[in-house]
Amino acid sequence: MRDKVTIESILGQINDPAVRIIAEHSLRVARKALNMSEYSRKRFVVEEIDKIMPRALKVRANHDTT
Amino acid sequence: MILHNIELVDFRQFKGRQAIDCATGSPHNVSVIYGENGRGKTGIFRALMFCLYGDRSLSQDELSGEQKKEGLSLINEVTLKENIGSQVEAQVAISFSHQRKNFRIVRRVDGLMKTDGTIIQNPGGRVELQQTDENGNTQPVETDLEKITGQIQEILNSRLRDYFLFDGERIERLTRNTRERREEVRRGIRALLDLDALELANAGLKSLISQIEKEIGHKSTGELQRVYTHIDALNTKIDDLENAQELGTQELKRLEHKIYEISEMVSENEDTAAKERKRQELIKNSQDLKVEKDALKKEMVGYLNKSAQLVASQLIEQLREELEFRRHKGELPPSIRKEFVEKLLEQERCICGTSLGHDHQQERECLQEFLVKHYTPGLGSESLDLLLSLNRLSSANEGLANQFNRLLVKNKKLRDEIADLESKIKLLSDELKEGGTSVDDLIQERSRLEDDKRTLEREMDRQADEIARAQDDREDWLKRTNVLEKQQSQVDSLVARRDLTKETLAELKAIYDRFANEAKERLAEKSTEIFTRLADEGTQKDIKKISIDESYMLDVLNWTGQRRLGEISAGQRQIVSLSFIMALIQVAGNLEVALFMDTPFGRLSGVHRDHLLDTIPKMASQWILLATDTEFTEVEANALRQTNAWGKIYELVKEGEGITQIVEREVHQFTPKRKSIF
Repeated sequence: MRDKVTIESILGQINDPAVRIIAEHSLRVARKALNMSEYSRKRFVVEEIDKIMPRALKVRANHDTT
Repeated sequence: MILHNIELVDFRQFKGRQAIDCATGSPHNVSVIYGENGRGKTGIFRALMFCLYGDRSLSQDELSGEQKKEGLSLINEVTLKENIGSQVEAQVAISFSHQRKNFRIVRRVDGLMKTDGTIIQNPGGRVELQQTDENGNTQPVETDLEKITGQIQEILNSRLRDYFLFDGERIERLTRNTRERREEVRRGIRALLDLDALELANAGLKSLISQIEKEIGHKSTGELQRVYTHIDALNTKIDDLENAQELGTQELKRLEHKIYEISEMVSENEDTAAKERKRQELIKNSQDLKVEKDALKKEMVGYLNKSAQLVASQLIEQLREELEFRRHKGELPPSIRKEFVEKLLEQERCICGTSLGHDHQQERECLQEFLVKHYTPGLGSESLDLLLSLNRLSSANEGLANQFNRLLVKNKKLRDEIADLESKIKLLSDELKEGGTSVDDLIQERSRLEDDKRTLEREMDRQADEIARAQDDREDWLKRTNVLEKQQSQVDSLVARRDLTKETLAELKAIYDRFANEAKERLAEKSTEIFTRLADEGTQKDIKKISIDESYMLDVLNWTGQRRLGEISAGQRQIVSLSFIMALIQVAGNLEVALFMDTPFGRLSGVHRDHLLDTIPKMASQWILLATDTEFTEVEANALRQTNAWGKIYELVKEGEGITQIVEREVHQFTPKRKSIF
C-alpha cells in the first residue's frame, strides 16, 4: 500500500493545464494565508488567485488553439 | 527540516556560548539530551521555539500580567547580574537543512538588569537567516523579519510544528477525550494533510466567483446590443441615401445630357432658331402690348363714370342753343344785373365811371331804353343761370369727348397691333411646326428637364445633408460603442475568468473529497499499523483499531468495534498519540522533519518504551529526545543503543545557581544514572 498521499500528486494529474495552474496556485496561496489572521486570509487568497488568472487564461487560449 | 546544530549564548540558564550538534545521518539519527528535572531540557525546547518562531513563551508556561505580554526573561540572569546596568545580549543560532539546502538562523534579544534586580528585556529582537544551496552557493544574509518569518513558515509551518516539536505532556494530552483535544487532533489532521489549505483555497475560489459575477452584473447591461442595432439602422439609412445619391447623380447626368441634346437640337437650325427668336420677340412684344392695352382699359374704365354726361351732351347742346337764340332775341335778360344798371342811372354815372351829366343825355336815355328793353317780364334771371351752366357743360363735354375719342383710338390701335403680332406669331409657329420637331416643344421639354434637374439637385442636397447628419450620428454611436466594447471585452474576460474559476473549484472539490477520504482511511490504517508495533500485547487486546471519523476525530475501537478513547489509560493514550503522529508523518509525505520530544516516556511502560525506541528512529528522519534520568535509564539506553540509530548524547549539568552546562558524552560509554524505575 502506498503510504504517502500528497495533494500535489493529485493536482498534478489534472488534465486541463489552466485549471491545474489555478488549482496549484490556489493551494499554494491558501497555505501561505493560513499563517495570516482569519480576517485577511480569504481576501489574500482571492487576490492572489485573481493575479494568476491572466496566465491561466493565456495557457487556456494557447491550449484551445492547439 | 533536519536540525544540525543548536548554539546558545547566554540564553536562559545556558551561560556563555554552548552548543549541541544533532545526529543527522543515517542510521544515526537519534540525539538524546539527558538531564534531571530543572536542568534546562525545556530551555533547549524554548531556545528552538524562540530561534525559529520568535516565541518568548510556551503554551505550557503559566504566565500572568506583564509576563504574559512580554514573555519570559530569556537572558541568562548570571550574565545580567555580572553586567548590571549594561546591555546584555542573548542569542540562539540553529543550523538546519531542508530540501538539500542549508540554513543558519540567528535570533538575538537584549536587555539589562537594574541595580534593584529588575530585568528590562527589549521587546524587539534581531534575526538573520543565511541560506546555502545544494551547490554550496551562499546567499546574502537576510535580515528582513517578515521575509525570514515567511521562509521559516514555508519550511515548517507554525500550525504543524506542534505535532513535531512537543513535550511528553502534550503527547498524552493529544488523545484525551475532551472536545478541545479532539478539535486539536482534527486541526492537526487537516493541517498536515493540507485539507485546511484546500478548504481555504475552495473558499477563496467561491469568493472569487461571487466577486466576478457581481462585476459581470455591473458591467453587462445589454446596452452594446442596443447600440449595435442602432448603428445597423444608421448604416442601412446611410447606404440607402448613398444609393439614392448615386442614382440621383446618374439621373442628373442623364438630365444634363438630355438638356444638352435639346439645346443642341434647338441651336442646330439657325433659321429655326432665328424664327424662334423672332417668335419669342413677337410674343414678348405682344405681351407688352397686352399689358399696355390692359392699362388703357383701366384708364377707360375711369372715364365711364362720366359717360352719362357724354350721353346727355346732345340734349344739353340743344337746350343751350335754344336759350342762346332766345337771348339773342332779347328774351333773356342780359348778363348785367338790372339793379346795377338802375344804380348807374341813379348815380348818373357810366359803367366806365364817367358822370352822366346834361351833356350825356343820350347815354342816359340809352340806359333807360336798355332797362325797358331787356328787363321786361318774361324769362327770368334763372334762365340766364341755366344758360351759363349749359355753356360750361357744353365746353366740358367737348374736352371729355375728345379725350375719350383719343383713348378709343389708342385702344383700337393697340388691338390692331396685337392682332397683327399674334397673326405673325401664328404664322411663325406654323412655319416652325412645319419644319419638324417643334422647337417650342423642345424648349418646353428642356425647361421641364431643367425643372426636374433643379428638383433633383434640391433632393440630392437634402439627401447629402441627411447623410452627413447620419454619419455624425453614427460617429457618436461608434464612440459610445468603443466604450461599451471595452466594457463588453471586460465582461467576456470576466466570464472566462469565472468559468475557469468554477471549473477549478469543481476540480478541487472533487479532489478534496477523494483526497480527504483516502487520507483519513490511510491515516487510520497507518495509525493502527504503527500502534500494533508500539503497543504491548495487553494494550493490543484492548484496542483493535485507531479510527478517524468523518469530522476527522480520532478514536480507538475495541475488539467489538466500540469507541473507547475515553476509557484507555494515560500511557495507552500516549502510545495512540505517538502512533497517530508517526502515521501523520508517513501519510502526509514530504515531511522531512525532526521529531523533537521533551520527556516522552514518562507515562509509558517498559515494553512500550522499548517498542518506541525501536520504531521511531526507523520512521522519523530525525529524533531529538529530551529525557529525564527517570525515563531514560540504562534499560532505555541499551535499547536505543541496539537500534544503532543513536548518534549523540548530551548531558545537562548544573554548575551553579542559574547555570547549566551542556556536556557532550560518548554514546557508547554513556551510562544513565538510574538503571530503571521499574
